[in-house]
Amino acid sequence: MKKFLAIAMAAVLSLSLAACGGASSSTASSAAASSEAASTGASSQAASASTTTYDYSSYTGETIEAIKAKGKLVVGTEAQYAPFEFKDMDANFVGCDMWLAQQIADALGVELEVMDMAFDGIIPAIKSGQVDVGIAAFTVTEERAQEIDFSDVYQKDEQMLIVKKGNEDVYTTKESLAGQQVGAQRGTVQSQLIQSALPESTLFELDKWPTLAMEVANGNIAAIVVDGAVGNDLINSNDAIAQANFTFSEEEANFGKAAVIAKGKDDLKELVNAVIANVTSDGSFDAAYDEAVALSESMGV
Amino acid sequence: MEFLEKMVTLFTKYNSFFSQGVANTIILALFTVLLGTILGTLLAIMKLGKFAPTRWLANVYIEFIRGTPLMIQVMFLFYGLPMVGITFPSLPFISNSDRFMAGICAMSINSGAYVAEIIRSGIQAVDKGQTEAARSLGFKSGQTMRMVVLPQAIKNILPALGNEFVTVIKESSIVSVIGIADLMYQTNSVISTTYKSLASLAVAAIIYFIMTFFTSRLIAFAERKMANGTR
Repeated sequence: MKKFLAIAMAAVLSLSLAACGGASSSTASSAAASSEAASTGASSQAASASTTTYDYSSYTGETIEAIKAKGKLVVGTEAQYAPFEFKDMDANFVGCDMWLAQQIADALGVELEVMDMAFDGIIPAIKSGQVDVGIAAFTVTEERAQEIDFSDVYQKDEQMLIVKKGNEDVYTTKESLAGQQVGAQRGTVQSQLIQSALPESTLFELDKWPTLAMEVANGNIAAIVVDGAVGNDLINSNDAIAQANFTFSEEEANFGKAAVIAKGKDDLKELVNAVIANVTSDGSFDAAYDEAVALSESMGV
Repeated sequence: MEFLEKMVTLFTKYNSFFSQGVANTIILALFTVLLGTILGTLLAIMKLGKFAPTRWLANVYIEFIRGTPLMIQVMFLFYGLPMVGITFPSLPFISNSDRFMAGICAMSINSGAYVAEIIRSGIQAVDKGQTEAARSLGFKSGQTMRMVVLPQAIKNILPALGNEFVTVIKESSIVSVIGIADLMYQTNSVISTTYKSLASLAVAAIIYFIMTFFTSRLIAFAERKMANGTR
C-alpha cells in the first residue's frame, strides 16, 4: 500500500512538473506565433491597403531611443472590445487598435509586445512605465488628460443605447429613462456620459461589457450605453437585445479615440501622431477597421 | 511617506464609498457564515449517515462545489437561472435585493461545501470509544451525537471554522462581478475615478484586515471559553 502511494505521488509530481514545462513552452511558442501572425497580418494588410512605407527616421528622442534599445514596444490594452481589440481563434491580438499598434512598432523598427490587462489598470501601468503606449479605444476626456497625454484622435464613433428587444420604442427619450438603471463599463467615458447626459437615471457599473449585455437581456437594468461599433457586436452576439431609437446630441457625445502616452514622452507622442496622421489620411486605418469588424462578425456564434 | 498621505486623503475623501462597501461586505459575510454553517452541518450529517442515497448526494455536492470556482457559480446563479425562468425576487425598500440574494446564495452554497468537510473531520476525530460508552450507558444515537460527540467535535474544529469565516470575508470580493457594491466593487469605483490603484487597494487591504482580524480574535475568544469548560 505504502509502495503504491509512493509511486502514485511520484507520478503526480512528475505529471505536474511536465505540465509546468509544457505550459511555459506553449506560452513561449504562442507568443512567437502571435508576433509572427502580427507581422504577417501587418504585411498582408499593408499590401491590401497598398500603403506607402513612410520614413520615420527623423523622429528621435530619449524615449524613442530607449524603446529601440529595448527592441520592443509595449502596448497596453484590454482585449475584450471588438472590433477595436480582441483575440482571434488562435488567441492572437487583433482589431484595428492592434493594427495601429503594429504600425507604430514598425515605425520604430521594433517588435510589438501587447500587454492584456483590465481597462482600469492601463493608465496606472502607463504612469508607472510598464507600458509605453496605451491603445484601448481610449476616449479623450479632461480628467484623463490630467493624468496622461493623449495622441491625436484616430477614430470617432457614435454612442449607442442598447435595450432589451421589444423596448426599442419604449426608451426613446431621456424622460423615459428617468428613474431607470442605465449601465456602462466602469471607468469608461460612457459611464461619465450617463452621469452627465442622463442625470435622472441611475448609473450601474460592471467590469465587462458582455456581462452588462446579459443584465439588459435579463431585464435587470433598462439599458446600456456603448460605442457604436461595440454595440453592433454586442447586438449581433445576443438575440435578446436591440438598439433603442435614441440618440445623444452632438455636444453631449462627441467622442474621439486616441492613444495614451505618459506625460513627458513628447518624442514618442510626436511619432505616434505622425503614424496616426499617415494611416488616417491614406485610408489604411479605415480598411483595418472594416477588416476587424468583418473578423469579429465571422467569429460570432 | 507620500504614499501614506495619499492613502489618508483617499480614505477621507472617499469615506462614503468605503463605508458603504464595508457595510455590504459585512451583510454578505454574516449571512453567508450563518447559512453556510447550517448547510454544512446538514451535509456533514448526510455524508456520515447510513442512508446511501443522501450520502452519495452529499458527496457529489461537496466535490462539485469545491471543484468549481466561486465566480462561475455566482455568474450562473445570477445570470444563468433567469434564462430558465428562475429569478431572485426584488424586495421593496431594499435596493438590489435580488443581487444580494443571489450573492448570498452562491456564497452559502460554496461555503457550505467547505464547512461540511470541516465538521465531518471534527466528528470523525472524536474517539469511537466515546460513542460506544455513551451508547452502552443507554444514550440513543441522536442523543449521543448531540450531547457527547458534537460538543467535543465543535471544540476541535473551531480553528478550521474560523479559518473558513475569514476566507468568506475575503472571498466576498468576488460577488462584485454581479454588481453588488461590496468593498472591492467600491474600491474599483474609487480607482476608476482617481486612477490611484495602489493607494486605493492598500486602503481596502487595511479595511479587510481589520474585519478578518476582528473575526479571528472572536474565534480565539470562543476557543478559550471552550477550553475552560473541559478543565
